[in-house]
Amino acid sequence: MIIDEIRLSGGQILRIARSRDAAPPIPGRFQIRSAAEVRQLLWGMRHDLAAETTLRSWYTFYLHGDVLRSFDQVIDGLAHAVENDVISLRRYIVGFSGRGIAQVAAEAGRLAGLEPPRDNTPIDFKDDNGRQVFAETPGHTAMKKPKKPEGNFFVDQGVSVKNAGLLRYDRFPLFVQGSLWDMQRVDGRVVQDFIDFATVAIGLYCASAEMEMREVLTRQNEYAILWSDFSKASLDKEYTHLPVRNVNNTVKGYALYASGSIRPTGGK
Amino acid sequence: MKIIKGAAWFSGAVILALIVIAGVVLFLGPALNAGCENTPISAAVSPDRLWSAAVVEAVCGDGALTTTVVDTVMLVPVNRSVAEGKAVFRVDTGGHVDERPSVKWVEPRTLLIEAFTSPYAQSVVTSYQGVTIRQAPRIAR
Repeated sequence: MIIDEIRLSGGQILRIARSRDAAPPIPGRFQIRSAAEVRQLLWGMRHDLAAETTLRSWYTFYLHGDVLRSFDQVIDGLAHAVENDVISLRRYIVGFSGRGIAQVAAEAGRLAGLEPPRDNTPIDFKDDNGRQVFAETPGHTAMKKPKKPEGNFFVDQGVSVKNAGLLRYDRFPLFVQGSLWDMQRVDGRVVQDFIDFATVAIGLYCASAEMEMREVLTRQNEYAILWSDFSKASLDKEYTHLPVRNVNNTVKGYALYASGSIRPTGGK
Repeated sequence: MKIIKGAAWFSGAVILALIVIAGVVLFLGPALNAGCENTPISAAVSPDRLWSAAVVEAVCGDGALTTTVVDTVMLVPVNRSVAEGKAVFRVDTGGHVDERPSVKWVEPRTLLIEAFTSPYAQSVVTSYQGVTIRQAPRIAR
């Protein structure tokens, strides 16, 4: 696997992780000399699904671009946005041949030290005050979570990203199914007890990174319009392509952070 | 000659069918890739042994952030597979085991489905081929 790391003059870093054989042949480390080189670099990724997913995320989340645009337009938009800001490009090559975005994001996350401690023993999900968190269900079910990580892990991540001025959506692929921050899977299998917590964790991260909730849900909804079919699940009235449970749990994550029920570990 | 013409027609039909299937597969590509895992949860056979009611749970992921868990009650003639049955009731459980519907035959042609009354539950039909489907609300603890 390779990781291209584009540093921008504002201190931001755009990382693109993808399979090695899909990468265009460029030197391992060099200075970008022209806007044309940025455009050429991005163009080289147009047949790489993992890279396209990342670039589309940047385009929609960072530049607020229209998600329905063609990939050519996405590349043009991104190149135009960053061509005058790029100060360097580094390429890392690591021994990994996975192609999926989740695997690639997971490997990139491990490299960056973003892997949380994990203990998959199911326990009750309680807030920092020891109060049980309940699911929005007819049975008012007590929500479960893996023993580790704590909900605070995601708050810490959100706060650190915000404080560092990083692109907040840059770490979103870590939540993708099968990646490092996907809380609902153990050894690739869905654990139903953890489905609620997995979405609450996304809400905690986004809230603490000060990502606007409506924007997050709108972007998820736009993704679902293109790629998801939840027609048999109960759908939300406002975000009409997202399951209502998904929306409720994202909102719950925001609420737990906003109320101070789950805080940064430094703030305890 | 007739045989050759028939074979050519058949080959043409097969190729056309393959093109249509390929088109459907390509069109549904993302949904198929994401995929669902279907698991039988419970079943009950009618007293006259002509019908079976089966609860099937579908765990579906979209490959990104979301997983859904939906339980469907299928009404199936006993000599058919569940896939050939009729969906009569559906509930989005979100993975909460206590929200799974349960089925019980109260008469030879009356099926009782017990489930929470909630926005997540949806009655698809109330009768099907002479079978009446009734819902009994489950009371929250």
